Amino acid sequence: MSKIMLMPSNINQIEENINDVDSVLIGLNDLAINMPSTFSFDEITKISQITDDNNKELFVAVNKNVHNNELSLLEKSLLKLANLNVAGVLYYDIAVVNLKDKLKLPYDLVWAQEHLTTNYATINYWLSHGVKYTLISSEITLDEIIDIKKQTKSKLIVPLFGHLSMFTTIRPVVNNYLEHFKMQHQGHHYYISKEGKDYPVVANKEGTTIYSSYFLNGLEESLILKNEGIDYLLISSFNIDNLKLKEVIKSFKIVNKDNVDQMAKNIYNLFDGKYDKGFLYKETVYKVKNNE
Amino acid sequence: MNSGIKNEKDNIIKKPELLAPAGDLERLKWAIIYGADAVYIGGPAFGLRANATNFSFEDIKEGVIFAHSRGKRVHVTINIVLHNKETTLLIEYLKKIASLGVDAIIVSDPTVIYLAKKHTNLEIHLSTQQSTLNKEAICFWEKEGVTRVVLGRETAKEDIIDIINNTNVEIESFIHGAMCASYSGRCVLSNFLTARDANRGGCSQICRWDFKLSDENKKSLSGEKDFTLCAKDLTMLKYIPEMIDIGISSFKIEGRMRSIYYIATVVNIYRRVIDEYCHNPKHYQYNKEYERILSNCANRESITQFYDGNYYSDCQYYNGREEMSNQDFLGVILDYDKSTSLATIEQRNYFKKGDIVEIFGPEIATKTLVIDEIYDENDNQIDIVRHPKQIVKIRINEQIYPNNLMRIKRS
Repeated sequence: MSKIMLMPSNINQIEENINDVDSVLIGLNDLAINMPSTFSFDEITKISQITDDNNKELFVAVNKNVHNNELSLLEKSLLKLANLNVAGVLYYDIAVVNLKDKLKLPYDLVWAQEHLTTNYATINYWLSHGVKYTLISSEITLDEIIDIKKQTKSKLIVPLFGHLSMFTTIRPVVNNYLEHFKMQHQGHHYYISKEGKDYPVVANKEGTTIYSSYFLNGLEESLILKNEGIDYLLISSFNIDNLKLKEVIKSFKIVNKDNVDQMAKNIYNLFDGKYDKGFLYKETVYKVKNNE
Repeated sequence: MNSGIKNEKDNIIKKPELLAPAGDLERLKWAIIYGADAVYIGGPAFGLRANATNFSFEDIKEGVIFAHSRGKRVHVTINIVLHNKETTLLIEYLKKIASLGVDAIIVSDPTVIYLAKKHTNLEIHLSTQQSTLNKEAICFWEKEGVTRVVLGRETAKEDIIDIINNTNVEIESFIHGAMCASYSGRCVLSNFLTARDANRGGCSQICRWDFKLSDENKKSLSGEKDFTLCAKDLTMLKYIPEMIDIGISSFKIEGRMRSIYYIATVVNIYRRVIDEYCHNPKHYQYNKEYERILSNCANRESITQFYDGNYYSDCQYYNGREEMSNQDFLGVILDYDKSTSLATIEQRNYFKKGDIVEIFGPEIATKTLVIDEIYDENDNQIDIVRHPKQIVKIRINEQIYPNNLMRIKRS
């Protein structure tokens, strides 16, 4: 049975949905990026209380690119996380793997190199280094995900609902633009638009992230993935209001082969059909000359 | 720890490697002739420039023979993000690459590291696609058998110093060329907007597109020009002496899809700067003329970017990119007859009598002259050379050599 993992935007969302999810994935302030929100240690302590009390798992993302001068913060933070009941820590930067070994950290790691987690051989490579979980790339197909599951014992987390991050930079590209044309900063949330599509942008002290225009809706595919024994189905709350999020989580929880059409219709109505299947059925090309 | 760059008399005893891009065999030869210590190339598969010409196995073999005969090295990129179906093809590919005498492979996926170690003796360099920015990550890769790390372009000088002082691998840094707007490996705009896989060699450079910007309520925030993510290019010309002193092992030039003129020009300038500084560090003087030549050669603006920690305002484009079609490159010297002082030239861009031109090459100081006599293949005097690859002769009163290049002199 696949577990439902929620990436919440705030603690209220966790409290409101804790009965319907199996695990919660949150980002740590200053060391996590591309999450709906990040949390302080005090907040994470409170969240771990909620997950512990409800017998749910807590995963924490420490998934930014770590610059050399941030290593001391990283080390202190990883040690502090060892005092909480954390099931796994997600990493992008390989420094985390080295530090887990060096500091003998008790929790498991999740290989979460965003767009690079695309094949079973490399998942097994990390497994052989003690990394027990993988957050699968959102740019591979459903068939590839299923094939990976068959070829690895790593526990797999598959993004199945929400906006997907497409671009991450340390550069403050939006603020630079606003300053250059003498406009006021407008907060952290923006959109860039092209050919009728709007792409959410988050600009903060960690840099700039651009998200997909439509969000991924893999409700129907969740049935296939459950059958294949995928361990976690990931739902992101980014840019989704609380009521809709609740509906989505419930749908993923109760969907089965008998009610899937009705559930899918509900989601369609909830979001006016403004979602897509991402790359679940779309293989990307790279050798253009041979593919055209 | 990297050390031994200077001896007790402050003389440099170990020059850094100058590493040039080569999109095909012709470019490989030009890069080496113009002073590269090593070239990096893409093989028939698994490289991040899937739409470049790239090298066949036969080309690689010929390139390796050419390079090794001149004491130079060849590195092959195997740095795409692998999908399931490719993992089974890798072992044979790696064995084949190793059999060609290649000196090193540049990889990003750890599966390639594992298989290369198991099945070959190839030197393994970690690609910038891993965005390695710190010494802890490098310590991990060192244990895995990586002997060189190409740092993420976002690494600042102080971080590089600390990394070099606390690790045992060679450090390779970019010194010139185009920049990703994102962290390398963390951009899939191309996948989403054009279905071309950025991390598998299909990047369609969406970062160079224009977009409308709006706030969170979708109210327009457009300035005089549309929003773009586009970063200016990198140039580290001014910092080369400092980078040598720090102990960076390899200076990398970006641009496997660039022209032979670009490669020859950029390699030639950095070769000169490295040699001039290493020859006499105490009396080295920055040559502004080199900056002018690089600036004229590139068709985009260049800037220092992250090295000095100041990457905020000047590092990106705001007013649209001005990409000038570069017609500076006038011709290739095929031969020089000392007895007649006539140089045979293959034309690459229009030139005419009266033009002020420069001739440069690895063996000569740059020569400036006015073209006053031009002859066609039948020895008829002509005024204009307008046909691509037209063979002509011009009078030059100083010794020049085959494979020297001629460009227009611009202020």
